[in-house]
Amino acid sequence: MEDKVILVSPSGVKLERKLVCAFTSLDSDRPNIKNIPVIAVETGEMNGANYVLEFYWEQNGLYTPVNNENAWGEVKKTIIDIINGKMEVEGSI
Amino acid sequence: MAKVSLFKPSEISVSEEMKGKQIAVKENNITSLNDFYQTNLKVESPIVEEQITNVEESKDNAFAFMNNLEENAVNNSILENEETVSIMDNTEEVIENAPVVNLDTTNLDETPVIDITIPANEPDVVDDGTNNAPIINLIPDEQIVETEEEMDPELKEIQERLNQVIADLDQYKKKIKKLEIEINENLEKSREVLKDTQAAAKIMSIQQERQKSISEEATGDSVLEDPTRILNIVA
Repeated sequence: MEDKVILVSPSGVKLERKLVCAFTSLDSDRPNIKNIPVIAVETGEMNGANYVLEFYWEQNGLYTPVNNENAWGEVKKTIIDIINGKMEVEGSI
Repeated sequence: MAKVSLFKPSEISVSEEMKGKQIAVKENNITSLNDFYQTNLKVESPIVEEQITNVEESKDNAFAFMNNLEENAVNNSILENEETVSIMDNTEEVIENAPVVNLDTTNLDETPVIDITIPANEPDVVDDGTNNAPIINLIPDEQIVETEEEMDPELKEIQERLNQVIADLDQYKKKIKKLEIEINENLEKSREVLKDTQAAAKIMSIQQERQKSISEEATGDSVLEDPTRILNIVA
């Protein structure tokens, strides 16, 4: 099943993205992103042989780029944990 | 062990610029992410797919579901050449620096790649079959440039003409405004003149009335002065 999301800017510009992963960290060791929904979307761009993913986190009801550097570090760690299989899933919404 | 809860978003509204933080992953890693998401999502909440139809009623869902996918809505971004990439831990301490790569910018079709091995302090790395740790390329955001789609030349020309028409329209509006003011001023003056004319006419009328009454009085006295003339006529 392929999920797509539509990113909509306030000016009305729409971007279609393929949803790769959407999660909310419940880990107290990652306080900057704890209980904050984060999405990873495929941009369609390639960096050589690699897929480029974009990340947004929910702020005040809207998804924004993860502009907090501490939070961004935690997002990357979470993605690495997922890839390495070091992730426990507690239910889902 | 880190814990996550998976969810299924519907519409995403982006409040700032469209570019989110980016990383590049190998195909097997993106497959891992996809599998992790899809598998766990299905297993943990098999009723999620039913709930998707009632997205608008979900109080936990910050978005509404957009069913209208516009054609050609994808906006591609082009990555600039990168020189250095660093992996940082939570305290922003640099724990590994990627080598500097001097890139040949003459061939813009090639996108740069820097492979970075996950630091050795990450234990229990999943073996992807090649005895190598999963590699995630990190691209500094400040070096990522998003290019906008170039406007069609015809559309651009039309846009420029439209802007000129709008500018001309503003000028005409100003002129009209000025004329309106002049017309109002002239109208006011005309009213004043009319008032004066009407006043003058009234005065003349009064004077004429007075003269008439004076004349009538004068005519009545002359008849009485010569009563014989009247008597002669009757006889």
